[in-house]
Amino acid sequence: MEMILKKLQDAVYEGDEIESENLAREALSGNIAPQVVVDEGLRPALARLGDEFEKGEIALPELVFAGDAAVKVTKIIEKALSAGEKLNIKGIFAIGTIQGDIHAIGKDLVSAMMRAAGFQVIDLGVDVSLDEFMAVIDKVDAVGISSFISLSISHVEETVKQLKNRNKNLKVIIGGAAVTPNLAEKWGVLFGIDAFSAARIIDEALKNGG
Amino acid sequence: MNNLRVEGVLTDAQKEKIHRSAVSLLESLGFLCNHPQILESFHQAGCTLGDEMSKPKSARVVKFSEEIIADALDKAPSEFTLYPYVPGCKPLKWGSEGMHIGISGGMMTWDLQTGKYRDAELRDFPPACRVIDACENFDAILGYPFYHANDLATKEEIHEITYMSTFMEATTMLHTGKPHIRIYLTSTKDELDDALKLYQIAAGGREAFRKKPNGAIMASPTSPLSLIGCEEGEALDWADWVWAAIQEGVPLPVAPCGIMGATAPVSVSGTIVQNVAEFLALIVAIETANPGHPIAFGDFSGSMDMLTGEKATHRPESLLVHLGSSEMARYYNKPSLWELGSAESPLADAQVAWERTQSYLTAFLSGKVDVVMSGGGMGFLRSFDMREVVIENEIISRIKHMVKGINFDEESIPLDQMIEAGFGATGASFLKTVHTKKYYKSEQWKRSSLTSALNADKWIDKGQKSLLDRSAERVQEILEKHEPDIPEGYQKEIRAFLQDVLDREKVDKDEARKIMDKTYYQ
Repeated sequence: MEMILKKLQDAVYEGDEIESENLAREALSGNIAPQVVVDEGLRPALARLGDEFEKGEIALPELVFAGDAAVKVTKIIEKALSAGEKLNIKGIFAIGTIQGDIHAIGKDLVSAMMRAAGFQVIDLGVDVSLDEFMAVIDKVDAVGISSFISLSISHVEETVKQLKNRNKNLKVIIGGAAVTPNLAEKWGVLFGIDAFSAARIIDEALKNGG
Repeated sequence: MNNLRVEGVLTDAQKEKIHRSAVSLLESLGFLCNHPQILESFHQAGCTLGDEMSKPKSARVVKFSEEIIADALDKAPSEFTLYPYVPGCKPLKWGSEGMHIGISGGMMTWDLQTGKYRDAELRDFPPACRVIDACENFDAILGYPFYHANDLATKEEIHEITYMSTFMEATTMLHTGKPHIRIYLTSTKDELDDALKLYQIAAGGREAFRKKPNGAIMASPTSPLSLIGCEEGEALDWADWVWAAIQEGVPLPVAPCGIMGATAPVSVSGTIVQNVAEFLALIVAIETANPGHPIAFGDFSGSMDMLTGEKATHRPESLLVHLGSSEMARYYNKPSLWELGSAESPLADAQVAWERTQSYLTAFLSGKVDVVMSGGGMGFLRSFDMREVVIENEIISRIKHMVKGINFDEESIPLDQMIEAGFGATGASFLKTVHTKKYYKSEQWKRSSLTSALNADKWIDKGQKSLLDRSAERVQEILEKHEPDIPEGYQKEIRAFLQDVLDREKVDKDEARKIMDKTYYQ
């Protein structure tokens, strides 16, 4: 059991999607519980990646590939859950670039960091309307809004307002060149100065208030 | 004189391969655009348009053929000129005369009084522009020295006013006559119209501008391979600016801005292919809408820092892309531009010096780029320091002297005077020769007061002034003595236009007076 989970850790760390999927299936068919596969096969790899990224020992591509492998493994594990069973994960995070704005890189970096931190990420894409954000609100623990163009601020403000109206406990984080800590404070949401701080801020916010 | 140059980075076969790869990309994948008039231009050129997409709204995939691209290349001119509108400034000739250097800015200014960075305000524009104006090695200005005037609106309020970029542009033009290359900043239709109007005022009218343009607008696709215009009620986007420039005859340096490893392939050759494809796609639209429209093959691509995600345009691999792109511009016989923009270092230090030196040296040695927009901004476009501007001016001066090469005119080897001087061990000296007197100014680089030539003992004795101390003194000297030569009638016309803008925006009279005051140097 330990051997296969160790191999899974290595495959996820290496960003080898196919090997990760195969090992996850093998572990589950060997009667290892889904939660154990997450806790001992997936999380240690993600923790190691996060730690090594902080130290500058690995870079964004490793993080992105490992994040994608983790997504594939998570999907396989979810299929193996029995009815009513739920995985104990850090949380589900939806992110999109606001309406009127097509800049994707910042959003992609935050997604990669959140996945590496153990969150399940729903990537809504770019030019995301209020309706598209509202459509996922009941499935998620936190929402990220990326905004690069200053004239899209009014869309960010409206989206934040509607999200909070629907669920005042929802954790919302904004980031990107167009928004500021002052705006975040004014709107009662979190602010990420860069992609790398977002995961930590959301994690802490969910621990404290979620 | 034989200019110092290095061999190119691309062989003829590699250039051909890059061209074929770019054409293949445009034939197979195509180019995405949603701007109705630009799509119509593509259609008129013979491109096939795919079905309308829902996101981006109304976008269609445009596909090209080799013949369509060849036709656009034939129509596009090989050179054009930006004409200065004040006496004493040099015309900016693209494609025919050496290399020109431009300067851009940042969001914060280094405050010489406090010794700290602070948000830039409109009052900071006049001194910054005057320093740029006084630096003889800068030939043009990209946008403005600062990309925000925090006293007109904070970053949180920017979407509430529609005249900030108008004032930033006009104030810049009031304090330096160097040609402007306008970059698109997110803005409204009013600001776009204002920008065009300012160019036209400077030229002496709309038709006068068409004949003798004094500025250009950068046309950057959204890499990879897209050019998007705004949807109703949204901020203007690149396509809106490009179409306006086509209508008004504003030259359009096309500047792909992919980030290697993010919005462009991570490889140098792959990014060059993408740059070429984006350039070719845009000139098809531009030259179909207005045959002969002045264009250039620019390059604003950069490398993504794989630890921070920031775009770095001065990195060694970025410079290789810039070199390749400008060699492809020569392959097409079109002018070229490097938009290097910001240094990575956030402050005037040794890192900025090595970043700029490597970039300028590479550009000069290549001999294949017409305009390099590199100076000014630091810390990924966040900061600007007048001291750094004068230091850069000195760096360029050194490089320019070296790349001129070795003089071999009839008197450069003074055999008779060498014989007359004799041997070192018998007291030979060239200091007193006619040859030295005649040639020292052209043969030796002339340092300014920025470059220390004191030995360490004397340097200690004279107060231990650092380079930044000396550059601060140089800035002060410029601000005290340098008066940009901007014709009075032109200044009056610009300010009358600005007053109209404030009236249009219904700005309170007292507030309007305060804003107008800041357009003067105080």
